[in-house]
Amino acid sequence: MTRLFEVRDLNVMLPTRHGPLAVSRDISFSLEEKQILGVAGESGCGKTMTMLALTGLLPPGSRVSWKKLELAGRSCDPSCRTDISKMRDKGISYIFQEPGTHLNPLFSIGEQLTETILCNNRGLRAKTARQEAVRILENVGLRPAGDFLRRYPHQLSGGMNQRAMIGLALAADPKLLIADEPTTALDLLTQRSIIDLVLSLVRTRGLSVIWVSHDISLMESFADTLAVMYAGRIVESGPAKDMTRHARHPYTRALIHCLPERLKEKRFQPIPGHVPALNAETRGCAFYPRCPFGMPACAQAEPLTIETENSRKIKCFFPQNT
Amino acid sequence: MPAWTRGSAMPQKKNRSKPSIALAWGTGLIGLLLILALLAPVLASFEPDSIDAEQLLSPPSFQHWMGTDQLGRDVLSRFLFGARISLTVGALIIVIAGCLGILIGSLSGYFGGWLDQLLMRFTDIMLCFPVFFLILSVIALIGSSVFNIILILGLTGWMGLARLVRAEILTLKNREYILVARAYGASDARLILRHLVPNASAPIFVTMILGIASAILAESALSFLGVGIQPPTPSWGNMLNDARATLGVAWWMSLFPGLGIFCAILGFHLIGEGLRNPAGGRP
Amino acid sequence: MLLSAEHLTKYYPLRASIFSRARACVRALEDVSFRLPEQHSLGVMGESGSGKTTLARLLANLIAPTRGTLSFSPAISDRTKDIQIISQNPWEALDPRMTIGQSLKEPLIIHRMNDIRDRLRRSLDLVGLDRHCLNRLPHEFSGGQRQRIVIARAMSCGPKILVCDEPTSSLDISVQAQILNLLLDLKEQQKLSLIFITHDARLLPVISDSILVLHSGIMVERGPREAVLNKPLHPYTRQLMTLSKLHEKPQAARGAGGAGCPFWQVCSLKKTECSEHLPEIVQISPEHWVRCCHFL
Repeated sequence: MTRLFEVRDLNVMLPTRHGPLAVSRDISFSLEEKQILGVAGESGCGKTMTMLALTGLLPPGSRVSWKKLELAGRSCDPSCRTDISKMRDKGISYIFQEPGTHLNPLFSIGEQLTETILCNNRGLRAKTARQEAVRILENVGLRPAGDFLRRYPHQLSGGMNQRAMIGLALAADPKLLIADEPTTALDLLTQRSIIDLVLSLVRTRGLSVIWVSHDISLMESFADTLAVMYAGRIVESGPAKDMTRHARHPYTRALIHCLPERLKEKRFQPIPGHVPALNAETRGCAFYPRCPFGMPACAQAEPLTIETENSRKIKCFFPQNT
Repeated sequence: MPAWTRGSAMPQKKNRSKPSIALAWGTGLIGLLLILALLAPVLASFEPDSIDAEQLLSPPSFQHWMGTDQLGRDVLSRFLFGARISLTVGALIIVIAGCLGILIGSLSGYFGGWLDQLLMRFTDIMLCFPVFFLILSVIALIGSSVFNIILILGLTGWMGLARLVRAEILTLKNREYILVARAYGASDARLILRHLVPNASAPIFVTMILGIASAILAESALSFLGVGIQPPTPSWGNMLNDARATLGVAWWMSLFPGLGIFCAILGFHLIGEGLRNPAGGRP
Repeated sequence: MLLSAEHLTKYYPLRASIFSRARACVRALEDVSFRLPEQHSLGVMGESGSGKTTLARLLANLIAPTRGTLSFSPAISDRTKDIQIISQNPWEALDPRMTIGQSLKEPLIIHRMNDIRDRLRRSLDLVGLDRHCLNRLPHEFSGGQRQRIVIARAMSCGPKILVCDEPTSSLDISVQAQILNLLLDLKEQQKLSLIFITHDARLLPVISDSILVLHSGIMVERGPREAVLNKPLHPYTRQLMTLSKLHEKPQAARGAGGAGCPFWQVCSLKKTECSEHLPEIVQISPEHWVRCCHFL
């Protein structure tokens, strides 16, 4: 398995009224071919901003910096003045959470697909583009394709719209697909069918996927590796099944214990306190105020990332043993 | 020190503070006119209808800062008291139009159905009607006192606001907090008065501010034509009417009231625009 | 028995304009019946398009049923006071221009309660909020805190039934856990009955004493919690239960509308008559009902 994508020490800064705000700090992860990375975290942890940073879709005025950013062997130099969006053109596609709002309501699915195909393959004839569009629709399970070419987003259900959006993402022939909570707004059965579709695309097209979700138990079933984010930092990462069964960072542990499957005396086990605001400057570990295992040392300095066997990384001074 | 690059493919927007300049200038202008109007008795050295027989039609001087008119009255004093009349009449007109517009718009938007159809068709009829001729006819019938002018212009100026209020209420009435309030027993009146109209107040307020400008213009037009505020009560409109005969000779008689109308309308429009776009979006 | 729903049905007519007759109808709910005892939690499991929002609105007296009746025990004297609704979206459930204090006081004023101060203090204590929040506006609070405020407002009148329409689906998992714990505590301490509507079957084992499963407006199964979770009868319920544990792979598409059972197209056990007419509800055991051709 060759390494497809690597990012080291990515930082994202957003402009606000009170000055620049760091929303992601020192994000580092890598992805092999045909691998699925699940990024889990609650709202406000910075996962969406990190993903938008990788594709140059941040709001105007944002700033990104990194030590290493590499896709399929081609490196993106941080000191050059060109936009990070050039990296996106080299093979990253993005799908969004609510498919209904991310498709243009004025154009049919076929028109949007052919437009994307033509944008990515200049010089292609319109007829060839339409044939390609039909092929893509069949790949994502929208059959009969001829029918769906003419339909508009408002005529389709959420699941079908999400398939159409995946089709648009595939039209750019990506190597890496970033899926930002694509099934959160969908029903259970539809959710499962979209996950199956993405899994089959990974097998047949050799795609790699970064799947962002707040539902850690969902991702455990199909992701290869997991990364958990808190307050703009990755606090733990490693193989998915290993992490959920033997979580070592206190936040990951607490998150898993919140799930409905982990009841204690017929009650849920919430995490005390609340997620810190992104502009709250802390000296030590961001999770320390809510951590049941915190020590005074945790408040003094930000923990370093410890690497253990079987490629687990934990950003904690006192990772828990199983 | 890490090297930072732009995170966005979109160009960065330029400085967005222009609308608030509008708000500042508008507030300044209207504030000035309001102060002048309020302090009219203090600032005016003469009574608005006192006659200085020796200085008929004299240009601005140290004694009469804005000159005198054809009857020897001090234009500045008439300007200041005219400001009172024009601004008060404008405000009162918009109060009447506002109450009517909010009432009709909210009933129409909230209840829907046949009431909505009835009220909106009535609004359409009023909008299509040549309201100006209606006003002239009514004035011919009942006379043109200040009270009548306010009443007539108020009763014919509510339609735009009614439509706006109806549109806002249609959007708001399916909001979750309205449904929940209905579930715990809130009456229709409470929902409309305490929840719907206050939440629609931003666009309503902007429309009413712009409406004051239109009301002042309408009153000035009527007074200019001689069917509005009747002399000797000064209003900027009828001062312009007096200036008609001596336009070429006594420029000061038309300039100052004209400037007054201009500044009032400009000021209210600037405030309206400034409120409408605080940061490039709807309020 | 606090509440008894018999054959609740709701159709929404599709009209071209108010002057034309309705030709077609949207069948939002069809023949839904259930009973709600005191201090009992009914979990309503339904996905999008199942009619669960319509059911919530019927219970909250916001819409009237096309057919069927809702009857209440004498303990429910005033539907607007004794039945309260908590909705899905905490960002929209509070008037953004009113302070928390004003929002909390409103139902008390409407129902002419005299000890407003005491009731306010008590409802804030119930949900674990500070008195300092009374003068603040909703936008200053997080989603979880806003949902607590909504619950405090609902509890201030001392209701007997709380209708919760997916109250935690737009909240983070950790906040969801807090709110669900709160609802469970309230049910026990305040002797509430809950009607908990959700699309997440994983919550059902904790939050419900009995379960009602909706699909395309039809009640396909209703029974005690253990029976429906561990031995589901209807094919749709079975699919839901296996999916929530994410063991097997299901069929992809969902059932469409039409005359017969809404689930027939993807049902693995379908018979020819399933597409033609809806089977009757059959009682399997004293508390367990199912609507499926295999149980006729």
